[in-house]
Formats: sequence, C-alpha cells, structure tokens
Amino acid sequence: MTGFQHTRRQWLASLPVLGLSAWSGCSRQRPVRDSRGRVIVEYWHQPMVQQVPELGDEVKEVGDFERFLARRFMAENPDIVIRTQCLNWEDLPRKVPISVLGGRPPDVLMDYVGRTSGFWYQGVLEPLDELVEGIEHDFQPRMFEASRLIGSDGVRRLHAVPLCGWVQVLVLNRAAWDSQGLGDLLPTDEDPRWRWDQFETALEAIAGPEVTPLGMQCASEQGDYRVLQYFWAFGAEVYHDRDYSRVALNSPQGVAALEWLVKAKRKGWIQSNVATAGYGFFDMFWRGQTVAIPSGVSMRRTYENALRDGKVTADFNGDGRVDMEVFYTLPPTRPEVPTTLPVSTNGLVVFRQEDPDRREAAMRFVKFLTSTETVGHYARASQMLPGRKSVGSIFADQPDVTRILGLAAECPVADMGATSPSYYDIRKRMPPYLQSAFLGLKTPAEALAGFEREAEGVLRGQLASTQPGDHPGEESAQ
Amino acid sequence: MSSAAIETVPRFRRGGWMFLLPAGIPFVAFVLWPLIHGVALGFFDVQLRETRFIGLENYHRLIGDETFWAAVKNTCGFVVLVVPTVWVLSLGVSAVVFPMGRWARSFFRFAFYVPVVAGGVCLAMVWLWIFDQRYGLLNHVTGSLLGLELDWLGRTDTALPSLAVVVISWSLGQPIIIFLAALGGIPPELYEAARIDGAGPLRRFWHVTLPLLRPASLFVLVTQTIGVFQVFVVVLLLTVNGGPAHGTRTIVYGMYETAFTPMYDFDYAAAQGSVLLVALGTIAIVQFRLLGRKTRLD
Repeated sequence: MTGFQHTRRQWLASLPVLGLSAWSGCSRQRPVRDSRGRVIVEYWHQPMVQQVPELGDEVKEVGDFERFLARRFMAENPDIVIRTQCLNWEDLPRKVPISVLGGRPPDVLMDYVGRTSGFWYQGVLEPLDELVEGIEHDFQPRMFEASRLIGSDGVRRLHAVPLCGWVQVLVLNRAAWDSQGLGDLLPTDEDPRWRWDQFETALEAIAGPEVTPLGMQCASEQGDYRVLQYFWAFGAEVYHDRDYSRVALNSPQGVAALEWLVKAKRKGWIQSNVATAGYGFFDMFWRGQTVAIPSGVSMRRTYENALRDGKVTADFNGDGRVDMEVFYTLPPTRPEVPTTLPVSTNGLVVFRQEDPDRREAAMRFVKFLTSTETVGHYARASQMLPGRKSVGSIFADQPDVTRILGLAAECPVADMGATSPSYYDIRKRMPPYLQSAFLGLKTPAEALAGFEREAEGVLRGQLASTQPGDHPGEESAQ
Repeated sequence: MSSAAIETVPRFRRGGWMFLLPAGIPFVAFVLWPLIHGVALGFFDVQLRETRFIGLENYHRLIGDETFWAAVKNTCGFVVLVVPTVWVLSLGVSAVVFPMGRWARSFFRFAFYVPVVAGGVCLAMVWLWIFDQRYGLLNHVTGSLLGLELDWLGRTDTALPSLAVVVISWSLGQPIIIFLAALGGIPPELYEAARIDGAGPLRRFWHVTLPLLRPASLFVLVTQTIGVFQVFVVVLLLTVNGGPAHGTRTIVYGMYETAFTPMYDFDYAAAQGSVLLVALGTIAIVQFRLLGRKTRLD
C-alpha cells in the first residue's frame, strides 16, 4: 500500500513538470525579446558564401559571413539581437515550410525567389515595398520586376528585396583541350561564343574512355537548368509567352533537343550516369572526367574553394600537377536560334509578423542587408551579380567575366516559370521522363509527351484553386 | 475473503495503469495521436495559412497518380524479393548454426546481428561504394570474373534488386536470433521419436522443426512485411529521388517526397500514409489467419 501511495505522490509531483513540458512543446510563438529586452530576429539563409578573402579568418565556413553581418548590424542596433541559421541546400525546401506550418518560421529568409514565391502565394510573407521607397531605380530592373508578384488582392507587390543573382554560362576546363593540343577548337578569349558545329567537333575530339566532356544530371530537379540549356539551344521553351497554364516543352524543337542529348550520351559526350548522378557530376569536373558544365560565373571562386579542399585532381598530362583552367563561354545554340540564358535572383523576404516591434526590427535588418555596402559584400563574397546598381562592377579584375556578362546581357532570358505558383510541382515531374529517355525506356517523343500529360494534370488541378491575377514569369539578373 | 483484499483489486488496477504511463504517454503523444492526426489530415487541404476540408479528394487523386502506383509496384516488388528471401535464409542459417557448439553459435549470432546494430546509414554508405560503377567492389569482381561492369543503381532492371540485396543484408540478424531461440525451445524428444520412426534429417525438419517454428515464422513474416513495406532509408541514401525513372521509388519514400519536396503537399502525403496503414493492417490480418493456427503434430 505504501508503495502505491508513494507512486501516486510521485505522479502528482510530476504533473506540473508534464504540464510545463506540454506547454513549452505546444507553445506556437517564439519569445519576442530576450532576457535583456532586445528584440529577437531569426535570420535563415542559403549557404551562399563560404569564404571572403578580404575578411581573412573571420569568414572561413558557410554561415560565418552572416554572423559577421549580424554582429555589425547589432553594433549599430543594440536593441535588436540577430540569430542566424545557415540551411543547407536540402533543408531549404523542407525546413522552412515545416517551420511555417509549426507556427515558428524565421523572421527573415534569404533564398532563391523561385522558392520564396511559393511562400508569397501562400500568403505568409510581408510585402516589402516600403523598404525600397525612393530607391527602386537603384535595383537591377529585371531582378526587381521578378521579385514583384501578384498578391491575393490582385495587386503586384515586392515580395523579396533582390540581393544578388546569377546568369548561366558554359564553363570549360580549357586545360583538357590544351593538354591534347586541341585548344584551337575552342572559342577565343576575345569572342567566347560557339558555333554549333564547332561545339560538336570539340566534344568529339576530347571524348574518350577517361573523359565524357559534358557534365549534367537529371537525377533530380535541382540544377535542371543545366539540362534545359540544351533544350533552349534548339529553340524549345518550357513555357510559351508567359502562359503558365500549360508546358510547351513537348514541341518539335524539344524532341529534337532530347534526341540530341540521348545521342550525345550514346556517343560518350555526356557522362553515362547522367540519369542518377545527382551532384556527383561536379566532383567529376574537379577530377577531369567531365570538362564542360553550365554554371554561373562564380565557378572560379568555387574552383578555388575546391582546390583548397583538395577536391581538384584533374591531371591530363599525368605529371602529378592539377590541370584546370576555368574558361567561360556563352552556351552554344543551333544555327538561327538565339542564345537564351536562365538568370536567377536571390532575395530577402520577411515572414508575416504579429508583433509590431519584431516586424519593425526585421524590416530594419532587411534594409541593412540590402544596403549598397552589404549587397556589395554579398556579391563579392559569392561572386554573384549585385542586386543594386550602385554597387558597380565587382568583376573589374576579371576581364573575361566582364566580357561574358556583357554578351549575356544581350541574350533573352529563359523562362522556367520560376515565380509561377506551380514551379516546384512542375519541375519535380520532369527528371523521371528525362531519365526514361536517357535509359532508352522511352523515346524522346514519348518522354516529353508523358511529361506534358502529367504536368497538364497538375496545372489543371492548381488552376482550379489558384488566386486571381496573372503570374509574372521569369526573374532575371542583369 | 477479507475486505482489505477486496479493496486491493481496484487499487492494483490503478497502480497498473500508472506503471503503463511512462510508456503509454510517449506512445499516445508520438504514435497514436500522430497516427490519428495523419489519417485526418488526408481529408483536408493543408495550406501554410489555412486548412479546409476536402473529403475524399486526395484519395481520388491517388487513383490517377501514376507515380504513386509506380511506388506501390516497387514496394510490392521489394516485399516479394526481400521477405521470402529473408525467411528462407534466416531459417537456413539458423538450422545450420543451431547444432554447432556454443562458441560457434555465438560467433555466427554476433556476425549476422552486426548489421542490425551498425545502422542503415552506415551500411548504405558501404553499399554505395560497393555498387559504384567506376570504383565499386562489385564491378571489380564481376569485371574480373565475367567481364561485366554495370551501373547497378543506374539501370531500372538492376536498381531495385540491388536495393533488395542491401535490405536483405541488414534484415537477417533479427530473424536468425528469433529462429535460434525458437529452435532451442523444441523438445529433443520429438526429434528422437521421429528418428526412431525412421525419419531422415529432411523429414525431421519438414515435419517437426517447421511446424513448431510456425509462431516464430509468423512473427518474422509479419514484422518483415511491415518493415519492408516501410522501406525508406535505402532509397533515400542509395538513389536520387527513387530513380532512375521512379524505378526504386517506394510508398514511404513517395510520402516523404510528396510532403517535403514539392512544397506543402502534406495532406496528400498523409492520404498515401493512410492507404499504407490499411494495406499493412490487412496483410497482417491475412498472415495471422493463414499462419496463426495452432500447430498440430501428426
């Protein structure tokens, strides 16, 4: 009997603890202020910046740069405390929606507008027009327009303040051709543009048992623009004329492009594991197994980091030294087809705030992050294009980058539908069909028809529940 | 019976319930409630700001979803490949190991149980290297012996069987332990009687061992079926998005991807989970009906 009474006492004593646990576990709101009365602002961001040479040891790993910025901001704003969190690429599309559903989203998020637009259409973001009042003209026009989306009230508002962006070019390891005396097959420094036949000749010449020149992957939707670059080269489009109610990839040009890709794989121009490689194809580039991949002009910085980490082992001469020379070219296109390039924007968004103090603090922080000085820091650190004109050129010391960006600025922007409400749902459905074509399970025509059928089903379902108003299409960075 | 004894019964019951609480509260909080919540979620359209009731809409969507049916087909493929193989192999290994000496038996028990302790992630990493097209052990062996080098995880005809091999490799330990324990529980007199009746080793195994292992077999089959239906880690770690061409996508992987990668489709993922729940429940009941009969030795 005593034992039972003792258990009961223990049970009763534990009730407050259980209650407290339940309360703390179920509490949906984060505290607004810390113990010192400072307003807490949570800042989540991409792992965009790894190293900033001019900041030395202060910035050595991803996340260090944002902590550095937060410290600077807090020094100027002692009433606010910034808590930063760096999300890796896999967590970004998962952790943020879960945090929103759980009622505890970050206050400020820095991410690709293709993802943040989804939050806007769900109505969980603050409009940010007030932050750019009077300085709209200083933002890169295409980036700015891409960040303005239709709201549930039918009015177009700024959902993200543009920070920086990138444009896709074709990055070569020129040392691969040079080491075999094939450098003449490539475009020149002065004119880094290809003719299509020149491109095929260069691929044919360099392809061999150890080198499959073109690196790409269609194992997942991540980096799909790398494969799509070859569709654009044939004049195919994902969407036609900003009509996001249907996909347009299943066209004669699209089929021709996929047929070429399948042929290229068969000829050993594309790595054999293209259907399952994931991001491994980047490592293949560092190892010299692939020598041409579509990427941004930050590739030189990425290469420096990879070299520092000991990942670069390309050695075509067998002399034990790394053979790598990053060479930016404009992606090739078929004759008569203009070069179309995907360009992308990273921006800062603020999640809806109940507390006016925190809203004000979050807005101040975003204003700080998008100041000319900070945008310049970000752009230089990530080697991306600055979102504000007043930053000026950050590539003055790299004439080849300046040249290629000049050429890219003249090219039309490829429309991937990145800021349309169905962006993720549609792009997610493409890789299995591309894989089927690469593996010979479906003909290119069957694969694209299958993708079109599935995409139409998704779009039909979403059109029924979407908000009124048009949806701006593509963002751009120049 | 004294009045004190009569009073003890309800008090004991209350006490019994309280002893269950340490396990019961987490069970209700982390299993039962999420289960009920998950099933309910399938009838709603969950958006980040609002949730609205949509009835059976998600289930209608499932019927026409080719990707979901591909996942169902692959999951069934996994079950067909893995469950009988694990049952046969674990039973065979147990039958071979059981008559051995104490040390040998302990060694084999340990050896087959190591993968269970090692954890799926570590093993998947090892298998990833084994299957690697360029540097993998498997291609090294098949290349040397047969002149055959394949992208094991990159072809639709080899990817699923390759993953099944991985799952089999880490699923054997527990059934072997169970079968060894069950074999130890069979009275030796039965074997002796069978031997006197002239039964050889095979007939003894067939008419004595197998029927008496029926409860253990039932347990192994039910737990393996449930486990393989929930196959996830191996798909996540060894493939990219259940590829190639949905060739290794399973129901649970599909649920995960539906909920987290095309953002916000939690309700549709919950509907898939409910279908899995019903399917598993039905299969478990069928298995209990078929194998749960009391054993009768003729």
